[in-house]
Amino acid sequence: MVKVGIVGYAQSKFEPDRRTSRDSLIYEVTKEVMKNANMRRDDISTFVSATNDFYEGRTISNCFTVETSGSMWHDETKVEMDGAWAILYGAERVLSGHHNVALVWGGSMGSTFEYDQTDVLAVDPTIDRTNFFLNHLTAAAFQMRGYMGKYGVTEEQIAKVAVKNRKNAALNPLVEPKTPNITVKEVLESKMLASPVRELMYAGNCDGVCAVILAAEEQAKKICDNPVWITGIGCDQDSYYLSDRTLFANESAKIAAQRAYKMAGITDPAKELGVVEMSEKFAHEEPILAEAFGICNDGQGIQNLEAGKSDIKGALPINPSGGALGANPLLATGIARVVEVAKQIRGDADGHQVKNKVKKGLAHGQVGLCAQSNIVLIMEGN
Amino acid sequence: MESATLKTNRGMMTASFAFWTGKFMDKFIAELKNKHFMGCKCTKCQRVIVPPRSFCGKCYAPTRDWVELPGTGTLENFTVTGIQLTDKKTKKLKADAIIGMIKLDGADTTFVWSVSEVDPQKVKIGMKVQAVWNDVLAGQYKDLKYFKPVEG
Repeated sequence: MVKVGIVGYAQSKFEPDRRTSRDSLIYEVTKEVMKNANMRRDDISTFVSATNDFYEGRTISNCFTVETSGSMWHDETKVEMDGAWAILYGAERVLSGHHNVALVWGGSMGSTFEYDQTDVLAVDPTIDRTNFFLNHLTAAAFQMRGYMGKYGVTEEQIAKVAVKNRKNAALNPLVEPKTPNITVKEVLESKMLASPVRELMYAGNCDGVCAVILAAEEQAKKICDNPVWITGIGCDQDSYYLSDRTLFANESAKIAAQRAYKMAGITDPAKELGVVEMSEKFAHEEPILAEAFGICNDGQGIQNLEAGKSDIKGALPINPSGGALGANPLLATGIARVVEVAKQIRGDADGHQVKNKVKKGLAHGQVGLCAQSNIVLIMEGN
Repeated sequence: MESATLKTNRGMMTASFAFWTGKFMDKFIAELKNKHFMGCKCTKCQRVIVPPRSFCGKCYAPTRDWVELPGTGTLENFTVTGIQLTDKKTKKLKADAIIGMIKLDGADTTFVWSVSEVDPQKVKIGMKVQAVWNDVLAGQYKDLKYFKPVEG
């Protein structure tokens, strides 16, 4: 199979309130990613963006971003899922042979909209939206309670995930705010959102844009000496209805990972992968996803963490950047996972580089209640 | 920071939308007036879906036969929350609410509704619950007040 290479990446600082216009944020990052790949905008043959009309407060959100992202008078298109799907789209464009280079960017400004208000509009309008009993917080609460009940996991153990990722985020120079001294006690004493989910177990959202430049194999080798290769992509979508799913596991993430592993020729992910960057929107999603990705056995996600294996210095670090709990700029979150894995492979993760040399890594994006839809990308160095 | 005198423009308008509930949900909502829960069966796997859907996503097949379910069921999962996400200003409920995944007896699916008349500390997964109806019934969602634990 022809491989897709990542030849450049850039991101804005992920922070609660950037106090700037969307346009200048997008300009800054798209300009930076071209500089990172040593390219000009006319070297880019297709642009793929990820923005959300609801989060932007304007419909056909990309009609306002063509000029600021450099895509005016260019082949340009958009996805409205997490930005990781924009990478899938961009990869397909360059693999088609019709495009040499794709610039993929995505992001949002959490400081400018009421996330809770926009997200409740994701629920079924014929019943769930008449009372809003079901929303992203209550759904996550069902998922966490289901997982805890199934495997005898405690709230204190889940809080350890939040502590690990928020501590890792403090090492990441591109994430604000920093909470290096956070404790399990603080997590367990933070505001109850929907029992047993507490505020510090929740990723929330922030301001941020992230971008990558993709090229097919031959082109990528011409552009730079050290492309990071995307060797496998898998995605899968589960039912909207929570009772049609297994809440203590994530079947969709499992299938997505299996598809990506098959494409990349990975048979033993726990041994072959050197880093995992996932989009855990809630602390309890990290062990559930680790199990779905086959990094540990079912029900062993917390033991995996407690044994230090997912630690930044562990055998297979999970979210050394801080993950989505560290910073969750909606629609950029999945792209940031890909960029973080690329940085780890290149040895370019400033402040949060993992101990062992990374040959292969996994990046994950998700959307929907309780991670309904999942995408997994496998990446490798030269 | 871009400038010290940064300005933001707020919303500026609201837009409204309508959704056809469809003949299955129409019947479900209308039958609440008779204190009935109406579900339907998948023509292929025969599972009972309530609230009803016109198709079964698992089989990608239509549903057809109606099933009337009792007002009793099991609490499959729950959460206690003090947050009202739709309240822009306070985001707070007047009092903590118990929200549960309710599986009616004879159903193969759950739906999410509130549970009341029980101490939140004493709520347990697997608890038997029953529907509590409004005094005035009009064939609308508010006919179903909440679920409470089955007595005795």
